[in-house]
Amino acid sequence: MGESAMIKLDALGKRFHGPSGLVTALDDVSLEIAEGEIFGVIGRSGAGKSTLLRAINLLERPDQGRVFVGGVDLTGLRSDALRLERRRVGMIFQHFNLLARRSVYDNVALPLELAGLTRREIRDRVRPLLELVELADKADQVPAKLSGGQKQRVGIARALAAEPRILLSDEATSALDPQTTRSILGLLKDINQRLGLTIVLITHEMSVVREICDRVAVMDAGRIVELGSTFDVLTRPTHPLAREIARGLEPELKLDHLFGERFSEVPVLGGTTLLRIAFSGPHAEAPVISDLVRRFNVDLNILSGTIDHIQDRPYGVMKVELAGSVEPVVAHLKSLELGVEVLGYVRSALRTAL
Amino acid sequence: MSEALLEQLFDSLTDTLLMVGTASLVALLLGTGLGVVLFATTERGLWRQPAVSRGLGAVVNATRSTPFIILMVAIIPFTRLIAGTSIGTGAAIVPLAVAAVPFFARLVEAALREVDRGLIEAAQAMGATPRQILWKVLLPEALPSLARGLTLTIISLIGYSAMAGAVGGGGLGDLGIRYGYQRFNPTVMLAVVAVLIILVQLVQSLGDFAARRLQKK
Repeated sequence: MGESAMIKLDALGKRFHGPSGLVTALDDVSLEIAEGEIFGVIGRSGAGKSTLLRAINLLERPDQGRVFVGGVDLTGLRSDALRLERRRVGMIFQHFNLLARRSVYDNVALPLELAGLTRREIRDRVRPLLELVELADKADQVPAKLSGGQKQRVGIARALAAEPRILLSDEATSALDPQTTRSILGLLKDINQRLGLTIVLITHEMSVVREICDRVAVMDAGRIVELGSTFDVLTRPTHPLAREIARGLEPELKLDHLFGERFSEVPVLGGTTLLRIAFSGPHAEAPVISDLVRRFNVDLNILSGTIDHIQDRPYGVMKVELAGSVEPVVAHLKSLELGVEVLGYVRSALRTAL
Repeated sequence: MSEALLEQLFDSLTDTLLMVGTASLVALLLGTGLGVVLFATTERGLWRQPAVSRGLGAVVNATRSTPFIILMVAIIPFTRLIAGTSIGTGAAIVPLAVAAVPFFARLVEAALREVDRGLIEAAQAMGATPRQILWKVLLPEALPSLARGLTLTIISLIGYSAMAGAVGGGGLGDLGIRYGYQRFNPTVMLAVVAVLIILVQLVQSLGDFAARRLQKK
């Protein structure tokens, strides 16, 4: 990256006066986002995601640090120069923020009107955009007549009208149902590939990140606590919060419910061991389980299993109950570069009635 | 009711319409401007000027808390300056306008405040200037509320205009007081009240209709 970074945030700091005292929204945040990348920022509400996103077009001016977009230091610009730069950064919102009294067409035309284009120029830009978001037939409707997904499509068309290099997405799918979310994310991915647009999105849903992001930053209390490719952060999270968010995608298995009083946090004599095995890397698709049984002469009971694709790479998670000697099994799995974690222990023999 | 009274009723109605109409027009022009300034100069506004905001706010509140009958008498020198006289229908327009401008301004301010902040943010993200935000986003989006505010202002002015008789202003209120009350002529009083009710009803219906049309939902 370095010089070629489309967005460069340099040591940003921002504090607010909240109802319960001073709140740190950004705490020494530095970040580089490459051209053409889809970059996700995930975290709980109040983690500073929204402030971070708004720092990129200076809707929220940081107290400290500098913001570079396309090599230009926005923090050093006068307000009129900043407004010109902002036109090159599109933005979409959770609640769409469409003008209720303008038609779909006129909403998409707004940024072009603001930029002083002629009616003809505006028409030549707006028509193809409405085609792109598949709303050409709704051009004369007002937003109130549209569904949530259609409103967000208008928002996307509007954000693209001024031909930006960057699209900022503020929880753009959080108010939509899962199916609509998927179609909006598909549209964003399509735009990213067709127009080479850099996309920065904030979300509290890991499924959104998994669906389209190339890289992701996990934020907590105004800091980036984990940063990496979506695959790495999802499959090998290191920070506890990142781990919690990543695990949120797996089916929930309440071990203490499943085993009742037989569940134990510490090893028990003659008991079994509960393992979580994460399949990623070169051996993700190898027949590991049957190999384990043969090789180590152990009994394995599969409690849950999922297989998923993250950034087109297979990733599986399996939770098993293992009867027999644990150490060699764990060592073997680690040698295969699989993620292994002991979840707990169960008293007495392998459950037969599962 | 005699022919003469009917004629007087008609003349009074004309006076009322003239006073209310002119004062409303002034309120629409100056009140909108003042309302925009009140809205924009607050701490989180587009042209942050807290001192201006507080100063204007104080003046507006002072005007609004003065009973109209007192305001009318208190500003007689000002009325004379503007209208050349302090007596008559023309002169009554001045205090009516002075009362209506801050009244409508507060309604404008409230209407602008009602516009979703997200829309302002979206416009800012598009690189809109404060002036563009005002003309392209705030005022158009607030139009239905502004129409309702203007309706309320006109109706209040119809009420205030009844006191214009105190400065020889004429109008329906004056007719009602002089003929209906002081000469104890219930027919005139009733006729005046009926005309006022119809007038207010008419304004309200028109205002509701306009607001609905502007809502576009």
